[in-house]
Amino acid sequence: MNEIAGFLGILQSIPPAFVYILGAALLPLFKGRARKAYLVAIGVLGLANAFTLKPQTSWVLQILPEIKLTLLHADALSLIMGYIFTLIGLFAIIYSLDAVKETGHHICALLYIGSSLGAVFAGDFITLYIFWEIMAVSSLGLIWYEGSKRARDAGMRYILFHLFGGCALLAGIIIHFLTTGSLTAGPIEEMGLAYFLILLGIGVNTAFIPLHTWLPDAYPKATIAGSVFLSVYTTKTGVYALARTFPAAEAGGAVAYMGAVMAIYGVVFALLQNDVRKLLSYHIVSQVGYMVAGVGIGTMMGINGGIAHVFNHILYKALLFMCMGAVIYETGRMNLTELGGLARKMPVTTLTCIVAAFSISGVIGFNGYVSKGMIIHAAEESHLHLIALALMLASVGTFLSFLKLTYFTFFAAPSEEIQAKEAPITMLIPMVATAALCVAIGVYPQMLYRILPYPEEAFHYNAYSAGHTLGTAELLLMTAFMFFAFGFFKPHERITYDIDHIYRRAGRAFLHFCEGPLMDFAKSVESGVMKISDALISFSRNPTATTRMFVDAAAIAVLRPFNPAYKKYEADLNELRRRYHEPVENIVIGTGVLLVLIFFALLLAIYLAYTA
Amino acid sequence: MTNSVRNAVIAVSIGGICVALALSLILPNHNEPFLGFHAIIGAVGVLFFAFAMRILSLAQREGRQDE
Repeated sequence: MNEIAGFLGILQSIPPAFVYILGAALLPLFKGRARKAYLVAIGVLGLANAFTLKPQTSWVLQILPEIKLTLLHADALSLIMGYIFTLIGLFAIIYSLDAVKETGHHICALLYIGSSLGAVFAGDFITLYIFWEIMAVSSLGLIWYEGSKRARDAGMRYILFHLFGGCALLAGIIIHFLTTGSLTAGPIEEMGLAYFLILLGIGVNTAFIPLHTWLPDAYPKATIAGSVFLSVYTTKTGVYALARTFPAAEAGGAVAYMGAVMAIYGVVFALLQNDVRKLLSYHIVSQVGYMVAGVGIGTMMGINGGIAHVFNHILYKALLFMCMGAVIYETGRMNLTELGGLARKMPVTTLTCIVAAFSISGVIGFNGYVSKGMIIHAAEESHLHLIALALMLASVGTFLSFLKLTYFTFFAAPSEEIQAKEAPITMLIPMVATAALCVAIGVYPQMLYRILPYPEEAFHYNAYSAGHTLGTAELLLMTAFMFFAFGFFKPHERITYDIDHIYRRAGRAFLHFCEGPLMDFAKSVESGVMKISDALISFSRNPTATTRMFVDAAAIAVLRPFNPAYKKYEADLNELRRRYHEPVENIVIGTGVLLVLIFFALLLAIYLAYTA
Repeated sequence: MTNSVRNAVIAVSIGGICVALALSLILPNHNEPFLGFHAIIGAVGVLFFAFAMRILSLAQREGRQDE
């Protein structure tokens, strides 16, 4: 017992990131079943590490006399993120045991979890930035391991976006340090360039409109297990950074409205999708919109709601990606138009997917109902009625999307018979466990309230008040009725342009400009420089003749239009050109060296004369 | 199975809306601006998204979405 207590004592002072990063480093030593056991052990160890951390624990590393890296800073906000990141990390690792064969993929996944935890527990901006960048690069592996050209291209666009965001974040951090002298990862209160650059850097990860296009572009092209990991960490770390640095800031109102725009925008595009994982990806944009709105409202209820929604969203969105991953794994199909009738063939997947769909739609009794209600309640308390209305509308769209997803995947008649069986047990275990948590938090939200940043405020919120419960019931039942009665939302196989269409066109136009006019200009500059250098060479060889040639050429150019005298200069120029090619008398090298030495001696004499 | 699921959901939805509206009348302390506010938001929301999809269908092209 003492050994276990001692081990837990050591564990509770180690940054959780270390467990995963060290775990990734040692992974190549294991093969076969030992590797699977090792991966699960890392997940369990990480979970134990996060759950044993005490608030106000810190781990500081002095790297320069004035700069310290705070690798572990545990408070209520970072701890709740740590809990959910490690919990879902364990589930995602178990899910990937059979779905992933490549060791490199597992290493990327562990590094991704570790770096996300590193960013969440960072006490200073430099540490945050370092883990932020590791997160971007390691998550890229989860896309590229899919192996297709479309995944490689999407991965390239993904990393370009994240490098741009990382640069903005770094520039903001440097300017913030130069103006305030502080690197502490905390609220940025002074509006200025640093403020906007850091917001921009975080905005890329949080998928602010119009910086969101990397998300629906890359996530559906990742590996089956990769998209489960991706759905959890990047955007939620962004929301965490937003809550850490911009709670109730001057731009808070703008951030809240941005959240409302994201919530509606993501839903509209999700409804148009046929690829199941693309539909889910657009819903990440929408659901992150709720979180951004909550954080942007900035009240204790708003921040509680935003963070509660992060927690809940991680559960149900990971579950949705797991369910759709299981469907793709078993059927090899990823479009709604090609799916259908899987409910009897994959009953556990169907049931867990319905739980996840009800959770994300905010159906009464599921976890999304609690956190969405908190955010809308916070908006109404702050008299931001437009935001509250937009979030309610987004709820309607969300329910429509998930009626569409579940109905056309599991219940509608397929276009042709699909051969499928239930997913492997390693996939089903995390799916069932996550679904159980979605229901548990929905039924007993107090277990979530306890770990929120402002627990006292959270306990004042009654999720199951008559008004909220009946209102939600009316809203969702009317949505379900209209969905099935009118059939507006059948899937179709057409491509809808998003904002990235503009980026791609602009990019192609830029490349065309670079290859056309810009290259012509570069060639003309190069030719001009060559002419000047030729003139200088000829001048150095024969200054008199070159000067005369230059004067002749200038005189010809000036006089030719109106004075026949230019012919005299033309004749002289031709004569000079003819003679110029005759051997010129060269001075010997020794004379040249002597002249240079005399020049430097004179220079030295002048220098000494003036400094004496 | 398809039609039975669809019909069952429609029936449950209509029944549920009626029950929710009836309970809203009976129970005090509900915070709706007027009776049936959320049901109307639901209906308007569905029409809004149907309209938005129709508008965005103008910016579509033929092809497979997973390409």
